[in-house]
Amino acid sequence: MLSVVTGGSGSGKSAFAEERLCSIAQGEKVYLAVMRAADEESRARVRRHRFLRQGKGFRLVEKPLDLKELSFSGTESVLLEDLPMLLANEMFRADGKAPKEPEEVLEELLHLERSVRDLVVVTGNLFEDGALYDEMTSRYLEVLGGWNRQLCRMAQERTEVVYGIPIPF
Amino acid sequence: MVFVTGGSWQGKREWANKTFPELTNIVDGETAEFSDFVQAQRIDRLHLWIRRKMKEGGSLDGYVDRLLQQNPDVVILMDEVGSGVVPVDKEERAYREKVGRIGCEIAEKAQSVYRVICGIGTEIK
Repeated sequence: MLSVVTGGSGSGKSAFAEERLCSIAQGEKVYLAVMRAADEESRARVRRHRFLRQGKGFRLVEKPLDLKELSFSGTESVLLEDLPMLLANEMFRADGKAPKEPEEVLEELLHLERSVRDLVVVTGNLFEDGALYDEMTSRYLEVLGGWNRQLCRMAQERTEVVYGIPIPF
Repeated sequence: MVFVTGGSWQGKREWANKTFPELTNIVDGETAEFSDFVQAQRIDRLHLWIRRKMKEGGSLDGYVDRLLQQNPDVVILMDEVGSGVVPVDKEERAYREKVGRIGCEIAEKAQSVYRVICGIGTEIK
């Protein structure tokens, strides 16, 4: 099954997503982390998430981009954390390679969804601060919004988390 | 403890005035101190207090529990923040994160939580 979890920063969406994955998983649980912990702030975030996952039996896979290089057996339950970060990594690649078209990245994501038993995708609501951004950031938001819509169309469940409270929609 | 949240300018205070008209001792996070919170019936704009405290550089741990112990019936109004692009400024990022975490703690411990959008409150817990 595909489950999409959204919410603002610090809304408690990760904790909810982990709980959800644990309750639906029957085989191996995989935590697919896309964050590159390049500075102390990111490392603190990673530590926090690690602490939350402690004792829940997740296998950690760190893959900041190029999800197509991963292979699964069709039995795993995967928590992908998180979509805004994946898109940022792909659009603003740090390895000097040309960024892929967003459609190609989405296709990689859909391929991932087909190759596992369950996929819980943590995405984010980045869309309500009413600010105007430069062309690059606007494009980023447009693509992320498109991905969110596409995944929510396909998903069996969609949940917004508000200060730790899950609200299905 | 009752928690009322929602984006800015959604009518939380107006909604709270109508829903809890009996609460007259109201303090505002923009100016009030924690000592005011413990004797208030309603706290408005708690996020502004968090912003001030963070500017002063103190720790914010433990305040929710202390408030719950000393003033278990208080109604708290606080903006829902964090639904935007991650700010470039480090302090702004830390602020959003902190309001989020404190909001999660309040929501977890509150007996009911309402979310007000366009003036309409929905009970979400």
